[in-house]
Amino acid sequence: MTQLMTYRGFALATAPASIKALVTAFVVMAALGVTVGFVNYQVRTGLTAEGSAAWYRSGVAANPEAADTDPATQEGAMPLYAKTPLEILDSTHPHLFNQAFLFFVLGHLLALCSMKARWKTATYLAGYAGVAIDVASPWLIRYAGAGFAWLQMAGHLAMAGAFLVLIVVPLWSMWRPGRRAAATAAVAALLFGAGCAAGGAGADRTGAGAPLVRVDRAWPVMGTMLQATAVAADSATAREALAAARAEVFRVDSLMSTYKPGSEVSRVNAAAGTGEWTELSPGTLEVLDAALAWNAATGRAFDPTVGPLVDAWGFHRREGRVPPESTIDSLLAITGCRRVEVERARAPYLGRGRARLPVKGMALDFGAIAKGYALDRALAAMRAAGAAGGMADLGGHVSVWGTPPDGGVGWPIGIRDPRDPEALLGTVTVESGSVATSGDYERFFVHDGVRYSHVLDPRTGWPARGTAQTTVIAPNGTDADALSTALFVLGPEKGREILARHAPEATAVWVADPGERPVEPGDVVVAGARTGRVDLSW
Amino acid sequence: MRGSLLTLHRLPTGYRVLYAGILAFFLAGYGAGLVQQHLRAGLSPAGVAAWYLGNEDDPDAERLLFEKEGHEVLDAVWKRSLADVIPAIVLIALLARASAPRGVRWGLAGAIVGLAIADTVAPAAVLWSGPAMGAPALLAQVGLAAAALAAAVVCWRDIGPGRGAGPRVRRPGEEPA
Repeated sequence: MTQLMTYRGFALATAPASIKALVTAFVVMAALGVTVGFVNYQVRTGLTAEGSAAWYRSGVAANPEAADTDPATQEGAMPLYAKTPLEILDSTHPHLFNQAFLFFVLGHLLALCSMKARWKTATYLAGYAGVAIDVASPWLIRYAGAGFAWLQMAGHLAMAGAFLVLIVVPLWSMWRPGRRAAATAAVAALLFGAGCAAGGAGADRTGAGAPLVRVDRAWPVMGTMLQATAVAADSATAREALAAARAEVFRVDSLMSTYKPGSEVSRVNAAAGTGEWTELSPGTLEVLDAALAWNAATGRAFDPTVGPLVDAWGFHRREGRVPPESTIDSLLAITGCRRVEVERARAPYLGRGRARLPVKGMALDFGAIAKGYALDRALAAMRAAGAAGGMADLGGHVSVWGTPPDGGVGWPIGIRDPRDPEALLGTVTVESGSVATSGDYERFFVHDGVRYSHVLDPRTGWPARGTAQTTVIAPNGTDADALSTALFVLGPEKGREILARHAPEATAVWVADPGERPVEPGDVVVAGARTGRVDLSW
Repeated sequence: MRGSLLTLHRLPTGYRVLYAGILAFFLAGYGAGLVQQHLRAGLSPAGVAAWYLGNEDDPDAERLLFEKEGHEVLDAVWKRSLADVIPAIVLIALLARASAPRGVRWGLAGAIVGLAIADTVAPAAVLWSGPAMGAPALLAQVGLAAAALAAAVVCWRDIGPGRGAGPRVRRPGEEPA
């Protein structure tokens, strides 16, 4: 072809029928490919600048169809997370070859058509400019500003215009009027291709009907084990989902662990009393906000500043002891969320802020909420990675979403008997949500015949009494985690009020401390019952 | 590559734009491939091996990688059989019409073909022969990018703005206009 085009007088219009047929087939296939590409882009971004910005920078899926969203309620909207450099590169790399090559070949066909040289050159330049913008704009949108979404749309417009010329002109040259039937056939083929592309785009992308693959893995993290299950149409997707979930949990741990000196929470604590601010990333700030909100909602039954008291009781080092009253009183004086100072960035969409603790010895401890947040992020990562369902279990706090491995409805999760680790009190069946349990058996010591558990009442500085276990089923892990601790402290009577007022979608199961005897039905109180189905064993 | 009727330095402006564009995008594509490997698991033999063989046993790994399954590696080979061959054909076609010495063009063309084949089969070689194949796989990828860069430089000498457009060539046996 390269050689043919150099012969004087050679043109597509006068080419042999075999060459015309070959070129027509190629151009039609190219048109089909380009159409599919644009439909793909439309599904992802809704063909809007806002949708495009959300796709790369984070937000909510622009096209409801892309996330199986209920348009009325937005329920099921797919959260989009800021793309990583590798994710962007995974599309940049093939685009540099494929799109450029397509323009290159179509450009050769245009060269064989009757058209002014300057218009041909302009078409080549427009096409290449479109490709250049197409590969550069995701980086610009992600790292320079959402406004570059408009540049991306302009680039796509340039590409579309160039493609139109590159496809229509050769077809027109070969099958111009006078050969009406052939022209009609070519146009019909184009329309058929576009129709197939649109039909393909509307097809079920979830792989429904195909057997689902389940992949399980476990890793040590946050002082416990993360056990995760991903359900997907293929094992590669499931494994990718698991890797993404693991990365999120490890990231949350690196930000919020009090055992890692470099974590943001540790740095806030180390700077307590110095007046220095510590910059917080969006995730840490989000958890701090949630912790402060639950502190206020529960009347301090949940308190992320209770760490020094937990330390005084020896629970951090698993060496329980009853501290002197004077120690408890002095530590109570430096706890309380009202003392936590938080400043947010002026541009709230940045999600950043900073925090400081004004008194030396104060400390933040997200031990009763960070695991739930980590599970939320883990499931979101699985979902973004394309899994159809998933489960993540961090030391008994379980979050689930989507299709379970057996393809049924809901994930069964056991509620253990606080006095018999081998027995279950019952099961909770959850379609999407989180099940968190706080129990007096996790960390405790017995002193003078009294059982002291690690769940402290922040208002008194003493371990909460009267409850052996609280299980909370909530729509998300962050709330379930915080509530399971708060409701353990409050007990069922006040806990019901908190549930009704602040967590109407949550369910709570209290098990009263039975003392030395086994748990009996009368020890169990269930309230809420809006998330999941609770089936007790008796 | 002998007796070619078309040489790059005779191309009119339109073709030069086409060829310069495809060279630029291909080079960017090869470069992006190297950065992609760097971000995936590291631009090193161990990184290439980890990408296919996984690193679940490495507690210090920054990013968890699972061992690829056979069909995933075959997918990669299949994609590379197109992604490596098409640019190779274009580059060789352009080289054939460059004015560089014949030995240089043949040498570069041979390198591109050989490295493209090696790069295509590299995923399967690593998976089924072990981590020792990480080094040759990396060498093939880096070498292919380097050969493409050299080919682009050779072609650019002919189609760059410093070279004026030459006359259109004749079909064999055609009378001059």
